[in-house]
Amino acid sequence: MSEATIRMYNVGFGDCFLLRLPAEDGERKVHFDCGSHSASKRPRKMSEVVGQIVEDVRDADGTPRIDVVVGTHRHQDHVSGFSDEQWAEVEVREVWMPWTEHPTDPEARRIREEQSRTAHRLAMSLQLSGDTSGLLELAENQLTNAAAMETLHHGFAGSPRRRFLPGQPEEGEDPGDELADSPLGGLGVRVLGPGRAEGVIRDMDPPVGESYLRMSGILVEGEDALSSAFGDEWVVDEAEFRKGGAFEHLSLNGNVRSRLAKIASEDQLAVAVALEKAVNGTSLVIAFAIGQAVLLFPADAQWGTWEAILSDDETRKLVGRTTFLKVGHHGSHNATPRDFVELLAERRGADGDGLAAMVSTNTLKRWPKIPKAELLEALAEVTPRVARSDQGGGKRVKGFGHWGEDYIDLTVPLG
Amino acid sequence: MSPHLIDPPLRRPLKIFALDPMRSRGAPGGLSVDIANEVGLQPGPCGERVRVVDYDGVQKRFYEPVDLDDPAILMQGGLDPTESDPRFHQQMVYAVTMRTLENFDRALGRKITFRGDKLLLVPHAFVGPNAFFEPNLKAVCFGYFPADTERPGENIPGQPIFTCLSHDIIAHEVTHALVHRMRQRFGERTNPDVLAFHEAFSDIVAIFQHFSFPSVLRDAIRKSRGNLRRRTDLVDLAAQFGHATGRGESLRTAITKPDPQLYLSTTESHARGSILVAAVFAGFFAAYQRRVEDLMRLATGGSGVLPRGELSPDLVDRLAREAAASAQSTLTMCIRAFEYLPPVDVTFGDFLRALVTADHDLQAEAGAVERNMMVDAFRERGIYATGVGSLAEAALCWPPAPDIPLMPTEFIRQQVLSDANQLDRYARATQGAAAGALSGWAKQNAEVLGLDPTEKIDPDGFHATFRVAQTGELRVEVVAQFVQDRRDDVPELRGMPLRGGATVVASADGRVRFVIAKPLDDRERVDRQLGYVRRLDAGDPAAPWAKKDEQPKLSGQMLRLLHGAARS
Repeated sequence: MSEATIRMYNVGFGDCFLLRLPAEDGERKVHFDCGSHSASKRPRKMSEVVGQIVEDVRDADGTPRIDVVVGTHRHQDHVSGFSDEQWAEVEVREVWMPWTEHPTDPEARRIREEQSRTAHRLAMSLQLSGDTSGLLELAENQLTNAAAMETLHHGFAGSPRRRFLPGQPEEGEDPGDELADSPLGGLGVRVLGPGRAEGVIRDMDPPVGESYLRMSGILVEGEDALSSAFGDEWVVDEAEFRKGGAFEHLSLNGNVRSRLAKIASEDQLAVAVALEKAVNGTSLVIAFAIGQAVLLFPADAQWGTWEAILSDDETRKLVGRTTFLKVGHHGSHNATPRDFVELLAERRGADGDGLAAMVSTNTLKRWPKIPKAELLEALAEVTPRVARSDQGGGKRVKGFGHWGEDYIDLTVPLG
Repeated sequence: MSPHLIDPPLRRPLKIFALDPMRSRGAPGGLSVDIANEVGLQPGPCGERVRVVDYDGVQKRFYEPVDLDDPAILMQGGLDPTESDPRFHQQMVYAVTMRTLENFDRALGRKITFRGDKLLLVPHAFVGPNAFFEPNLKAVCFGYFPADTERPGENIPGQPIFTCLSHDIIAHEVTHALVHRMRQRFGERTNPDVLAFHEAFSDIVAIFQHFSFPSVLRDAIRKSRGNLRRRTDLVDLAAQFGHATGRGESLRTAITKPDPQLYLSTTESHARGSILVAAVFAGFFAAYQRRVEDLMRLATGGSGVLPRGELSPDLVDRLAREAAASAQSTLTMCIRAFEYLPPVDVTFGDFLRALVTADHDLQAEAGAVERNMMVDAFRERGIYATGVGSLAEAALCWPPAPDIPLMPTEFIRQQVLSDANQLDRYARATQGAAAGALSGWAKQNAEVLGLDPTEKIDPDGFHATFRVAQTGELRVEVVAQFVQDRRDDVPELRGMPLRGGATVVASADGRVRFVIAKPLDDRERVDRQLGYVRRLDAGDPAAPWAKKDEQPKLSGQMLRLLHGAARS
């Protein structure tokens, strides 16, 4: 029986996966993402990780080659490593990105511009207000990551072809055919998201947009910020509003004041998390259905994409047969629907060790809920074969090879 | 001092902007509205039910409060509208709030209060294009903000815009406070309609109040030549706010095309609420048209086709009077429906049934045609009552209650005999012998009331209503709400209990007339709720980033009111 191998590089809080698939004429190398969050701990520098990848993909003739590089979405923790110069040496045949990266598609441009404008304003307003709550790091994850995106769009050796997926099939064209002429043609590759349905696109729009950022004094420098409603001549000494004052009946308790004082930071938080979710919503979701095996790489897909997958009978069946899962969004709350885990659990009886999963994650003090403990527990109920990138040197489990601080290898049977 | 006292006047005239400063430009004097004269009104203004405190949350300082009893202000019927004097801002917030409260008082046949507190109104609470009601503080906070620098609409770029100078925003937020006062569980997102209902109801009150301003109404009728479905100031909400935030139009409108698909696919609360607003408005419009048919025939020599050019001022006046009467009766009908709503987990279908029941109960024949039009307008927008097989009135009305032992209603006598103004004091659910008697009664009859006898039953509010029926008789009824909680071990609920309950409407002698229940043991309903909460949870963008032990409540997102609207 043939096998696929998956290497999960430990990049801290981020994603970096190398998949090798057997093909009739040798093997295919697919590389998913290369990024790490600026706030995260890393066992080694990103350039060292990239250096290892370059060696890992070096062919016998001395040239490093990758058939397909997948940039799932433009978050720092998925792409930052692509800014490294070592990538220029790697010969790549194709680069796949979500359709929202399409340079000229008007809807794609609108979504990108909306997201990056919101990200910039948010970052500026957080800098201005001297944020110390860690929101700034969350905001920085959203910034355009220009150098890395430049590599994905224009870099690498070998003049790779760029695909923005899923494409919009011409009339009469089977959408499943779009990758037939790619290096992965015939390997059962499927694009499961992001779709273009309204619900999915809504997930990509920072739901609060720019107007939200005008709230609560989140005003960017150069704009005429209002500093008060009225001039000093209207102000009455606060003592008059306390006990014994002329306007004692208008006194205000501390609850009201502290509530009002919190509005600005609440708004910043709401924008930051909504934007994070919006960019995650553009995640390119790829599955490989080879024989009985289904390898699923959902990136950081959010509810909108998952709902589309799970509400379609055919794709629901497909993901229900998953034998390898790259756990979404570092194991966080809303990237792996409970419904999906229940689907996987249904199969457990029939095929006890039919599933292996990898979680690329790193628990940070400021975001203790990632990865989500309940999710990991639920997965553990389904299969003991779950590896965390930040828990190298773990107990040997069937299918796993090298299990270290630096990377973890897994072999998945195909057919 | 003369020994011949003059009775204090019943009403107090005050001026407000004609809807908002932008729309008021055609009417520089603003609008004069009259509200009940509160004797002993203190500076603020601070009266019996509301307190305006002009605290600027940005600079953390207080602005000079207005004394509406100052003779200089009294003699001119209130300060003239101006954006540059905070005292006028305070006056407008007070006037519109009182007007809104009076609309509820009149429709409900009782004076609604805030359970012993005064509603706090803060006109300049923060910077930002928003306003919100904060249930925990019983406070409505208004923001101010600079108009959009690129797309300011009819405002100057960067010009300060005050949400507290918008009639619609004030009425909307105060209605949130009132809805919360009457059904505090409607702030909990147990199905997609609940918060949407909150929004819709607040918009309905704001829009129908437009019709009570004769000059605004006449102007709109003149401009639209009597067609109230044209987009005019009457049917648009928060025009200045919409323009100043770069939207290029008013924030929302009561006029949208009926499309039954929308109700199925719209989830955002404000947008979903707009479907209900449009349905109510369409029902109102049909009733108005029927009311002026004869007038139009008279005015057009029988053809019903209006001649070109300006309408006759007499016709405008008469149309305005009919429109105002129709609007008032629609608004009253909507507010009355409240007595017939379940205490938890409300849906638009429940509201439709409550509307029909409440109105049928009071004017079975006189209101039949209008009710039918309302039902039609709901149907055209895909809003049906669940579990009802037909749209016939008999089916839509809540079913008559089965035989139940008499409900204890002694407390009515106390309420009648006490100062009518203090009625609501007795609604304090947790206090007094009446609450005990009611919960004892509910416990004994739990099963017929759709309550779970094994769980605690809380009387969540009870009061008498006094209304005059079609026949002219005074009808005294008792409405009591019972609520039950159960804590299920469902993580997505994040500590919020599952709730069930019943609203019981009884006649004065305790004979139960209606039981409007949301049983806790209705497995289907509970499952639907859990499914909905799970979806909310799955889509909650804040969840992954929570701090340790922080369980942000899903319901905690409620009532930051204009936020959601800023999305569309």
